[in-house]
Amino acid sequence: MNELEARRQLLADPRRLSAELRAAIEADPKLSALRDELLRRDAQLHRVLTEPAVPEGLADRIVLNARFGMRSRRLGLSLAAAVAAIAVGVPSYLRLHDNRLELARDQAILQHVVEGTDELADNRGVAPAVLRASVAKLGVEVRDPPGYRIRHLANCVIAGIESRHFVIEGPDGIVSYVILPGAHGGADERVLERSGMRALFARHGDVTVAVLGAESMDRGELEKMMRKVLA
Amino acid sequence: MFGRSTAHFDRVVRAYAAELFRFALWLARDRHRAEDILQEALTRAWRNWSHVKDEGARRGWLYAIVRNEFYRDSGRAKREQAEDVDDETLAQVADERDFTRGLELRQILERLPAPFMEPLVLQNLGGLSCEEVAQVLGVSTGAAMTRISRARSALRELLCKAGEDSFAVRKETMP
Repeated sequence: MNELEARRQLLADPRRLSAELRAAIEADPKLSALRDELLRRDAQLHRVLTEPAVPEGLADRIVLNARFGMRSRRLGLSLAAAVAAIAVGVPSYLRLHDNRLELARDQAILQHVVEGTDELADNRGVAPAVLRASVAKLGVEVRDPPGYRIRHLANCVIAGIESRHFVIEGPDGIVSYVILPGAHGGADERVLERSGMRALFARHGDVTVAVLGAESMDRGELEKMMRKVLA
Repeated sequence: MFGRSTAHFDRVVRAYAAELFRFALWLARDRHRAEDILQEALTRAWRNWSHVKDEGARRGWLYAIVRNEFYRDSGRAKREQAEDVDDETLAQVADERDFTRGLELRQILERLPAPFMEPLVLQNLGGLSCEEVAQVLGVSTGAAMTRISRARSALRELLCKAGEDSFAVRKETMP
């Protein structure tokens, strides 16, 4: 390999070296110095390229939008603008749009709980005062029903938004609750099922509250659990 | 092997979202637009998830979709600009001694024409090999190697002129 070709290959990729190029570098101090310089420069370049902060919850939003059919903000805005031109269709479109957003959020909550087997298994116990203080930050009040024990409490990012997820155990079995701020004002209530779990979602102002139990619990029982715990 | 597995998609997105966002940001130079591009790109990727048979090619495939989405969003003119490998423009950039003085590495990189800047960013940000860079750009491996080596040469010259280079970089003849 001549020097020109060695330089070209080094400049193309100073990290991945063929055996022939490696031998050329070992035999030529100028090539060795060039490689060292290129590696240092690449390290600087990498620092520059990885400097920008990544938006919080980006991966969650991507997964949610890609999987549940929502489009980007840009496309959403274009659609909204187009539909707005048809004045008659605006109110119904907005209702549909909100419902769609809400459904996607509800599905994300359900998925979070279904896949969060560790959270369901956690039984370290949480003081009721701690739960009350935690959910109060989202503008929600909870009761402390007698005979129930709080097994788990966590701040979880769902659909890119920080939410509260707690699990209680009582005479009705183990029930999970999720409180997710930033509701869009879609359907007031909805029941969804997945992987042996049934969930009731309700809107309280701009907060979505979800109660999730075993599939054997019907809607009435889930509503009862919601009333029992949420003030 | 993985088919259209939701769990696999989740894992891949969580693993690569940050670097793909930074790549989109580098192309678009706007955080909101970069996120939109990434969102659209990965929605497309999800629809075609099972098309990738070789998991080793998944990462490059995602970079290619992000890049395509950027150019789809930017219009034909921008794409043509990116495909126009004009050595003269690169040479002109490298000759602009005055404007490079005092600039930082990031600003100098931004000055490189897209056909040279993109492969360099792909290699440094994504750690892609020349073969993978070639696949993302839709060019031969030789062409990708040439673009990267020219980009590095130009960058070295510009940094030297900018006076920020701590190394004694002598003017090189581009291979």
